[in-house]
Amino acid sequence: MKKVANGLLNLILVIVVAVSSIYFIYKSYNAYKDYKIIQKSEKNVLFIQNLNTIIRKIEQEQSSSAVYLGYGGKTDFNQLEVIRNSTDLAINNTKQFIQNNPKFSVYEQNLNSLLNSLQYVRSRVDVVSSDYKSILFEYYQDEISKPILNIIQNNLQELASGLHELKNYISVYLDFINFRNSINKEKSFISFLLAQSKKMNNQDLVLWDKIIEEQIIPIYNTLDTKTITKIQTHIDTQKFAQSSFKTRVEIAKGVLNGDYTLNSTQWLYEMDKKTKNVIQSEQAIYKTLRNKTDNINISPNEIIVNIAISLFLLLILLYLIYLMKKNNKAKKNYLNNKRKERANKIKENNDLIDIDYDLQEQTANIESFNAIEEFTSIMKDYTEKADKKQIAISNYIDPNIPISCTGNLKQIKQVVSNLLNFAINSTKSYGTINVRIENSAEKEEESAIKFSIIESGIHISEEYRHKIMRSFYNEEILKTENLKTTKTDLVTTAILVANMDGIFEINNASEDGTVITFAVSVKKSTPTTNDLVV
Amino acid sequence: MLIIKKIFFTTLAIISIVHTIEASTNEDIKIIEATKNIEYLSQNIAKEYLYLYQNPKRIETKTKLQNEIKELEDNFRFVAKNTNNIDSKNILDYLSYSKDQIKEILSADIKSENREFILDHTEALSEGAQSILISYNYDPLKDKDIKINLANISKFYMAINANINPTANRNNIQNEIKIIDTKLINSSTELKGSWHILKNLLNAKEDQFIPNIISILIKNLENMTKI
Repeated sequence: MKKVANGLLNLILVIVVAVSSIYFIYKSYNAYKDYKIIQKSEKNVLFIQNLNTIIRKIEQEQSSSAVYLGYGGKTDFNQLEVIRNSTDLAINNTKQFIQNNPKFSVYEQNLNSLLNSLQYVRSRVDVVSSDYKSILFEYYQDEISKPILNIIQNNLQELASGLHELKNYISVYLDFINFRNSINKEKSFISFLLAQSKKMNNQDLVLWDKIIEEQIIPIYNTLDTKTITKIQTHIDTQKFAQSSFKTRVEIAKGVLNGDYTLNSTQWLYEMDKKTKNVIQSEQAIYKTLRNKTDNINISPNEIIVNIAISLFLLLILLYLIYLMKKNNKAKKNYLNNKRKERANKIKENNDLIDIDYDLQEQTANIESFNAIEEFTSIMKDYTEKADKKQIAISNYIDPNIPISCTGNLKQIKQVVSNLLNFAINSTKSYGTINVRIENSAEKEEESAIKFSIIESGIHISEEYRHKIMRSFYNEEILKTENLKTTKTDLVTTAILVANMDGIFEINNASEDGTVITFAVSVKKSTPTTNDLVV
Repeated sequence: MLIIKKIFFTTLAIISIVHTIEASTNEDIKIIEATKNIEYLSQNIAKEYLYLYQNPKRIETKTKLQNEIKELEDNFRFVAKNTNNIDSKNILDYLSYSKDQIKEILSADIKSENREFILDHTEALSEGAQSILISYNYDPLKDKDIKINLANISKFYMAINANINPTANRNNIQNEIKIIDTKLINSSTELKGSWHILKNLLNAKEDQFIPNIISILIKNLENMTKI
């Protein structure tokens, strides 16, 4: 029971260590994954910020170019030049960032083509091209801003796929960038019309309507309260919509004749106010994004500690498994030894008969003997013993038994003695024992001698009978059960009979009581002079 | 003394009658206003629904629709509670089905097939409201308020773009334009100027669809007539 408990305890220990090591491996893996994402995210966020700065500069350049075009190049070009330089600076800074972070080098080509497109569109602005729609929308918007916006969107989406808890912030941040960009579209377009005092044709009206339609104030109520409050200080949805409505009404009043009640400076002032508020809202979200990525920052030490714990637990696990295997081997050896010990004990306990158990030796003891004389002698010894116990013992020795036989007399005598011993020991006083020794079959050179011992006083259980018979049929000898000495006699006896190729039977069902029978064959031999005298 | 007594009672009776007539007139005015609101809101709901179908991301339009249906119910309750006119009560009874249908459609997702249902039910509400107004001897042509006419124009404009009875709706717009023209004959130059711009844009080419600009101008006119 104690061993079973120990085994169970070992198993529980192994399971606990295994589960703990799996947990720490999982934790290490997650920490590593998060660490990688955070590392990547930090760079992604910075890269996005760089691109956003470019877009903002391009937006400024776009609206300033619109005013410049609107006034037919009659405004201060230096002002436009300054804005262009700041756009170039933002692009160069981003290029520098890419050089320091080669994982973004795939975007270098985009920046180069951006510079080319800018160069082209600037040259068209410089010559005050009349194709304002192409300049403002096909180039500044579709060729220049849109690809950068797409890169921002892709990087933000990549970021959102790694940092699920920041998904809302990333999505709202992107909405604000798009919102600001659509405000700038309207700002540039209307600036041009106001500067030129140009009435709107059908296409202009449809275009303006489409721009208005695109402008949707982002929904930010999914963010945390602190960020919402910050955004609300810059953008009150109702006030924002109201101010847009007012300025648009003023513009709409002049669409038919170009006689606008608002001039481009007033318009730019209103739109810059709006843009500023949107940028401040963007920055509020960006700050929260940065704070949140910093908060979920994982130091490499944490990963190392987790890996070390995992390895340590794995080593313990391996050691425990080794110990368990070793214990199993020791247990097996112990059982084998025990079995051997028990077999030896049986051997020792057979104190009534001083016969060597070595079966090899036994088979070597083949000799000629006078069977009737030998059996008579044995019966005489045991009759005296039975008398002492007041047991009536009767015997019948078949006169047809060959006088001179050749066989393993020692073993035959041992078997007979064992059986008689067993019978006397297990029969109560005043009981009876009948012994019959018969010549049961005969051939020319051989004869089969059958010994039957009939006892009235004992009953051998079926279980024990099977055990004896298993021994007889050379199955496993004595496993774990402790047997009484007398009973082991029968087991040993059965083995001895089996060794002589004899027959061994136990019959409980006989009317006379239990009948134990064994038969062995002996070779007939020529009787000596002494044999004939008897 | 007898003469004084007679004069006193006669005066009292006259005051009482005048007071009753005045009270009754005030009550009727309120009912007429509420009924006009029903007509206006039903047209607006139809217009907003058609707009929302094209701009599903416009959350503010969704919120506006929800508020409008609530307002419509309030006006319904007010008329039902205050009117003694049996015909009006019967009409309201009949209209409550359309109102419930509109409410059900608005609570579900915006679907293409629901656009026509909304137009039918809001039209039923509008016509029902007009019938109630007639029972109160209200003549819409004599009313200088152009709020309902503008709402009608918005609805017809959106319906044309949704390709729902475009020819009929173009005619409807023209009819409303004529009515507003008549109503604004003696209005301020500023109001007339704003109306002139809107009218021009409404009369523009058929392929020019500018619902946002039209909506801005209509809202501006509404605000101007409120003042």
